[in-house]
Amino acid sequence: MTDSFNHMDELFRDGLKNYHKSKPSEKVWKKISSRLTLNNLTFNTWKRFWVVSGIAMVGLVLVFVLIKPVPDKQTEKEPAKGSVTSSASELKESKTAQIDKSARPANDADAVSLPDEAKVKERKDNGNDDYQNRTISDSSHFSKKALPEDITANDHRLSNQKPQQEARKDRTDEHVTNNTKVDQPVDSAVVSINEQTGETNKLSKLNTNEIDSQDIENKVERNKHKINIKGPKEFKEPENLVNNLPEQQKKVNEQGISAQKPENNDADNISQKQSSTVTKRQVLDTVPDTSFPKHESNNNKGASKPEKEKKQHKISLITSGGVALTHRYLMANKSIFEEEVKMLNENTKAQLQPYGFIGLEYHFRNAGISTGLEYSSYKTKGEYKLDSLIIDTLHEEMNIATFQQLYYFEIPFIYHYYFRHKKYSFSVGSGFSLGILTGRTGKIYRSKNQTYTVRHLQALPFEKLNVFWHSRASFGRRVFDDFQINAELGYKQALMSVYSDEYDFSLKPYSISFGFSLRYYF
Amino acid sequence: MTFSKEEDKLIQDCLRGKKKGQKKLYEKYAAPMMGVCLRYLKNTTDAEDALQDGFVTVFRKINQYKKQGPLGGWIYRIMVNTALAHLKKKNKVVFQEKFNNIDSENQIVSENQIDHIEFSQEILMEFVRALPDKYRVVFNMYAIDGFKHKEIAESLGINENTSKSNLLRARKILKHKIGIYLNELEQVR
Repeated sequence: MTDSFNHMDELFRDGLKNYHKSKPSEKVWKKISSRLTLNNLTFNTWKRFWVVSGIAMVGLVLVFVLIKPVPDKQTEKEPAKGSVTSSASELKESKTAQIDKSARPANDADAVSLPDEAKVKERKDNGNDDYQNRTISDSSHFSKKALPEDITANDHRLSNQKPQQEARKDRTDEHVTNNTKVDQPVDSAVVSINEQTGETNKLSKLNTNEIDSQDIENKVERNKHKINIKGPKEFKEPENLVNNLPEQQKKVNEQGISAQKPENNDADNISQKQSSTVTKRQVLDTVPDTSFPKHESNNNKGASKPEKEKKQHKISLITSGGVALTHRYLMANKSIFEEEVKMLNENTKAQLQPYGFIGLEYHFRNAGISTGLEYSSYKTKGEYKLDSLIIDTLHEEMNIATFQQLYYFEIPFIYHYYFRHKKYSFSVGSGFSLGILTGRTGKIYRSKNQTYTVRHLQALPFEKLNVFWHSRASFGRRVFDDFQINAELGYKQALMSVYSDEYDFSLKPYSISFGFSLRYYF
Repeated sequence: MTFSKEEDKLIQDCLRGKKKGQKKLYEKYAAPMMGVCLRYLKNTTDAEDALQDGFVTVFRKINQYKKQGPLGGWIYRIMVNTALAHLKKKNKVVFQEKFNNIDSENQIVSENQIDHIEFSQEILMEFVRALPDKYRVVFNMYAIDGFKHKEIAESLGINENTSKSNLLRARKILKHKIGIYLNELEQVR
């Protein structure tokens, strides 16, 4: 019987063995080429995952170390704006520090450089307290080197005040004088704020290089009768305030007066008055305002607020891992397969797979958005009977087991909402991730556990990208100030089929995961 | 086994992942391998898909090629396996096709008739592609590609007797088809 077909077999063998009249279309090579390129980029082992994760983690840490804002030491050391130093000793210390900082030679142009007109105007408009502080500080610059030690005369001048009506008159004179003297050539400027109107004026310009202690003393003596120190109406007790100051403070204030004496008499008048004004301002700014205890209390509250804000961490680094029970939804794209699809779904078993995540979370008050890199695999196993495969030539039923495993790198964007109580926190979150298919394996086994076809499923037209929906709940506890440990439950669902559109089935894997995560707050 | 310089260089280039070498190899073997795929798969699109998968496998696994046989033979074997895999994937193909009268003697051509007639490759290909999938595969593997029944059985996951049975059915169908073809040819004359 077999021999009778030998001629026919030869006919076909000779005719078709070297059949090559059909050439494939051009697009075949393009597809092969692109697949080979993609293949070189794929990751399909845990080792590669950990290498990439490790590099990513080091990179992220470096980035955040580099961009971590350096705290402003000046701001941290100084009390909050508007706060009042609680004791005289503290005040002394603080002022001493200020003097030390500003202790520069008087002939140093930088040391006496003051805000230019534009800056002064801006500060005037803003009513900025810093400006007043700056004036005090600048006065100190003048005084440190230029002043003689015996400045007790100035103390007398401070205390010998005229009545208020006369003071107003003098102040009017002062304005007139100011307007006539601003054009004098100088190296540096002294600027002050008119205490009643809040107006900033450029009073005079001084050549500080020419100031020496003897000259100042002489000029002060000459113009002693002209010096009138006036303050605003509200400034009722300058003497007491000055007398209450610690010695160091007094010294600073007095230096401020004598440092700004101009060379000529008119300028002397102006600068004496002006520097006196500055000194009083200093007094107002630095002496504890005992008449407004409530204000002081409010300032203290204001000071404690930034302390709390400092502890509000904005970014945290998260590493997590665990296991996920993966399953799949299998759907037919054509109605004729519905029965088989139903049978396949019923016989599919969930499989346990590991997952890992490394990423960052940006925190708001009670919420946060996390992103990073997640590595997940989706493995499913199905056991069912087939009788329609080509292999089943005798139409016998055959027990078939299939394994299919897909590996994804996912980039999630998940929004978390936190409920916090002391060291404990509970969060719920949801979001989506973009999954990049990095590897897939598939095997079909027969009932005798013999491999029927290995990598058969690799031939399937898999989609390279997928979108997953995430839902998470986690419970955590802060172990240290910067570390937190969490236990988390999650659910993930592929929103797109892992197969490309032309394939007969839609397969959407999903997983329920449980894991732990460590969180480091920057 | 000795290789020509050209083929050896081709293999080396493919091993290094050079696109130029890969394309040369593809251009050399694409046409005959397309013929193989067409013998196993009826649809040209399916054949091209199988060819594509087959060549991707060739380039990925070329480091496993031991040079113990001709490169063409190794690629040929991969193409056959890939074509079979595609057939299995498309497992919903026409199994219900019936050939009720294939045993009728008047339509089965004799061996002498076959010896005296020349068939073009296209006609032979049409006969083979007209076979039901399960018969065509076994016939292709046994009669044209030279596989043994044991190998066929292992490849397809069937037993040897099934393979023999399918081969017999395929031959009968082919004889029947050839008989019809010759009768029609005589009528035209």
